[in-house]
Amino acid sequence: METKSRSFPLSAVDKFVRLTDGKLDLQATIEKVRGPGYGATVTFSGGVRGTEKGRAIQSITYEAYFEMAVQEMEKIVVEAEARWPVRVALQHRAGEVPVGESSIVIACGGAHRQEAFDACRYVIDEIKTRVPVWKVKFS
Amino acid sequence: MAVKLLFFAHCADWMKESKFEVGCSAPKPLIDLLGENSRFQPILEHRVLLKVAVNRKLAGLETEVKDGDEVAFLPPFSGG
Repeated sequence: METKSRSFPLSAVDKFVRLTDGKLDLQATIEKVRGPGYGATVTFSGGVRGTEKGRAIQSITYEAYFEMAVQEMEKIVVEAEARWPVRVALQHRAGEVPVGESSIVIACGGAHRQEAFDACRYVIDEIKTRVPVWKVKFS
Repeated sequence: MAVKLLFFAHCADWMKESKFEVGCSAPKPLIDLLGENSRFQPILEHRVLLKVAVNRKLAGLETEVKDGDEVAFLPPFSGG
């Protein structure tokens, strides 16, 4: 279980992908996909609920295989940007996340809403199935 | 230099450790390496549930590994 503070920025390609045990910044993520050619910005923010299987909780602890998780998120962003005319930025959190805080934020900017919606759904769906991150503790 | 084995989430619970190193100077299938030591029995018992990554790429248990490789055992993901 990783406990020390780490943030993995994208290194190989010029994309905004972060896996961090710090608090996520939705606005900063949105700013990465804004530009003169982008009329639509779609965001997804996944947060920690206050109950798990009917039991009240205060936080969820996420564990990640950091290096591979960042690598896989980068691939997903590249795929989405190849499939739709969009820019994608995302942040995923690791470590203990209190109820009400975000575990993931995604921003997709496109000329029009349709491609931004489609790309955003693609990115979150792929992250759920391909990125090595786990909920390991409900406190 | 050895093969570095990483156990995540439930795998770490089953193994009671998150990492382990084992020598493997001549390449051999991962499944053979695991079969040589009974401590890896929990991994073999749960193999149908797990994905395996060798050097951060998904791979099968038949993949050959050798000293210097990093092997990770990955239970079903639950991030996002």
